[in-house]
Amino acid sequence: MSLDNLVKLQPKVLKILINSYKKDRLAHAYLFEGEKGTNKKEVAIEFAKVLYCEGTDKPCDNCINCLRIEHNNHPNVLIIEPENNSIKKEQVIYLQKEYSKTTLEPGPKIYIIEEIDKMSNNASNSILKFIEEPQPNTYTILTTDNLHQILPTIISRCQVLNFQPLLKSQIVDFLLENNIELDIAKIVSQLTNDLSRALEIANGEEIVNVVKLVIDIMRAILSKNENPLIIIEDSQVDIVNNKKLLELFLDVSLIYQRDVEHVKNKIEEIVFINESSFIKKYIDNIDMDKIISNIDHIIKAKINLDYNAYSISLIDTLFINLI
Amino acid sequence: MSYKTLYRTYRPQNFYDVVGQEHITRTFKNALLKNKVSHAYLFTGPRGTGKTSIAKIIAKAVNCEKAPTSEPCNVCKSCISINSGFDNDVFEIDAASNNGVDEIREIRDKVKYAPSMGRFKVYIIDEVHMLSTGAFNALLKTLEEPPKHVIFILATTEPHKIPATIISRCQRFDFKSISIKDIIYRIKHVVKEENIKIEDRAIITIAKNAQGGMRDALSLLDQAISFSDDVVTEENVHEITGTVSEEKLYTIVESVVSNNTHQVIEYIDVLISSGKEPLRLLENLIYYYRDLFLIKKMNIIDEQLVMYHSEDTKTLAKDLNEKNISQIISILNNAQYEMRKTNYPRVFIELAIFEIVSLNKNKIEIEKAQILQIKKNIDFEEVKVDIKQENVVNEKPVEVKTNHDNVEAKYIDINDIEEVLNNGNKEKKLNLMLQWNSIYGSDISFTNIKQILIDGTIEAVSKSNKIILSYEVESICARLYESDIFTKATEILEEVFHEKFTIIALPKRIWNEKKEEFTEQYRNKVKQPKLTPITEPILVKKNNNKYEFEPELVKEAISLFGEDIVKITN
Repeated sequence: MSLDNLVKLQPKVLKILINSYKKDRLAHAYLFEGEKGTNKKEVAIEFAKVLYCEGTDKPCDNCINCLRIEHNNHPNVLIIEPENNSIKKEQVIYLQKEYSKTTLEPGPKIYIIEEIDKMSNNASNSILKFIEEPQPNTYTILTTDNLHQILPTIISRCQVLNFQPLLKSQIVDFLLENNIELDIAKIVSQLTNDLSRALEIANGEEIVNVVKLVIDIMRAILSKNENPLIIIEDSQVDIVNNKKLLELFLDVSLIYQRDVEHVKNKIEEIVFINESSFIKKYIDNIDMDKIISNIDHIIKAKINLDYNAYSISLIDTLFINLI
Repeated sequence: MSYKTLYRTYRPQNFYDVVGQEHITRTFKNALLKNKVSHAYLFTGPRGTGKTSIAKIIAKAVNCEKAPTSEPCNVCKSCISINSGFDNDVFEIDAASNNGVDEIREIRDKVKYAPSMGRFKVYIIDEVHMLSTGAFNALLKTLEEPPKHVIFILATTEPHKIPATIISRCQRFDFKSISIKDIIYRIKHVVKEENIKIEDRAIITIAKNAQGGMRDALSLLDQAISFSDDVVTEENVHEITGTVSEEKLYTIVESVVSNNTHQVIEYIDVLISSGKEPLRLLENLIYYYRDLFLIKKMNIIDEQLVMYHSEDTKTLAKDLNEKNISQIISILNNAQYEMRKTNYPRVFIELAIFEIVSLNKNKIEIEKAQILQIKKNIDFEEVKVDIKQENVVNEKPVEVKTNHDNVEAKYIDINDIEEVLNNGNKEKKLNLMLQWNSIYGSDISFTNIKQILIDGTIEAVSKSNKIILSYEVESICARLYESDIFTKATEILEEVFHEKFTIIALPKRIWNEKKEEFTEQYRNKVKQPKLTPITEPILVKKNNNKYEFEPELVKEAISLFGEDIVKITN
């Protein structure tokens, strides 16, 4: 991803980094913290490129250094990732050894340690000293999506940069650019914060069918015309036997119920844009407590699904509670 | 030379620069001046409070050319070489990476050699809690009686992991978290040296967010400087830390208090789309409520304890009630817990808000109900007076008709309870308790009534043979009052104990209330405590005499299917 794109996605972080670079105030250790899909690693790589790029418009993505970093071939840029879901002390010792050597090529040394929360306790304590007072001209970048599991002593030694999850509107724009219809794009944007994952869902076959099913069922519940269980029986979407579909179904239902909640509270912004008039028509039939309990039931169903609950009984219980 | 972050540039170089640890710096200044430096120290305390810094200052001071002195000069050869980090006599050891027995043995072998330049060899062992058990034990002997020229300084954030044998061999110093005031003072100093323009409020916000760590504070300042364009503003700091300013939190909570759900949700929406993380927002809200609670609870506000204490916040705190706040905090806490597990943090924030608002509404309803109840009591007292005047009922429980056809409300006369409590007889009570199970006897008739009696707990017995029985299950208590059962029960008691007893049955809940009321007054030396009347009636079914004549089979059937279904026909 190019720097310009990243600036759009993470304006705050990039502003700090770029300003620090311009003012020559780069810290020796950064901790990139934020949810999955917030481009932490990409920013780290761009950071390295900027420091090494030989071109005028940094990073140029053309010079030898940029290319080598892009392909993870640069001798002075070291990336450490968890092995078997944890970073072990041996990896840290290797890192420290690398640290103590002088560089092969002129320029700073950059260490990127990914998912620092997966580091063993031993290993985390070992890096403390060397993050605090490294050799001159070395930079360490740690990334994590779980700040709460990191030793406070590590956090206090780094500048913590908080990566914001993408705004929903950014995801919607991205999906629209990729020829996804607006209504689906809005729904998908609520389901994930990861752009590539969002596109995957939006392009999948299931989403359209599931959304239609949810609309049918929620309309039935609101207007009390039909039995939702019969709609499920008749539907072609097999949420009973396909756990993934059921999960998607619950997620989308939750979004719908939240829309109902919003309409009830006269909040304009809703996700199911085409449903607004229908919900408004029936909104007086349902009171706030019922809406809250509906949302609760859907969330409970989701949790039970994680515990591998039997899907037929799960669906039955859910709808008996919702009706 | 690349840029050095502020917290490294402004690491204190002498005791004067160290903030917030006066109790420690003073001890050391005196010890150094009087040449009474011990051979082993243990520094403990949270991150960023100056453990390593003070260790380094001590190393410099003992080796300084001007020694004995209370402050290192920072200009002599020795001081400069220690400052550069390459001195031959000062060893900074990272115990986390060198935590084995072998590394400690190496130290042990080398301590005996005299220092090459200065007077002392100083071993600063940082993160000492990471040493292995073997390594700790290998260190013990050396730590107890090192050569004259050696000083050990152990530093750690986790003192509970250090063996007691190590702690007892060291002089231990506990470092305090640095107070907000001290952090502000130090930041102001740094800002002045660095020529940085910064708002005062921004400094305060940084200090609050640092949570007692000087290093955290300077890191934040560093970031804020990079982030800001010209002048560092309070908003800059909030944006870096992702926190929400006090005014905004106030607006949210204020709207919640005034039940303006619509506005709250919209406001939260604005905050989230401007880039605040829902989880952070919730965390801030929890802290805000916590501070409201503290302000409410304590009259004097300690700025150390409370993060938010503007005038608005204080007035808001006055309007809230304590119980309510703690309920709200637990709602928010639950939401926070749930939020971590799912993809829809916003749904949980909104749900939490609705729950809080409905809590307010419920509170209003409960208050209404209480008022109604009080009104009812007043009516009831009037009725009671009437009855007494007509001499219809004497000293007996007063009966008032309720709306239900089949149910009548039984009000228990508080005078009876007072009488029993004031004239209690322990011996009788003990006797009854011992023999209570013998109610069953050999006769199998009326087992159901006997069972009801036995289910009750004997709370008190008076000289005049009045028994107070309490029941966990209120419905059982109510059944005892059904007229037929009540008379039969009295008969049974007379039969078994050969004495006449009057039964007063109460639900456990009410009994406990009354008991407390009584003991309270008794403790305050009231001779004949007066109790408030019981306002809650016991709902007793009328005209139910079928129990007496039920054969075992029917009883069994009723217990299986419930009395609604079982019909007795001939």
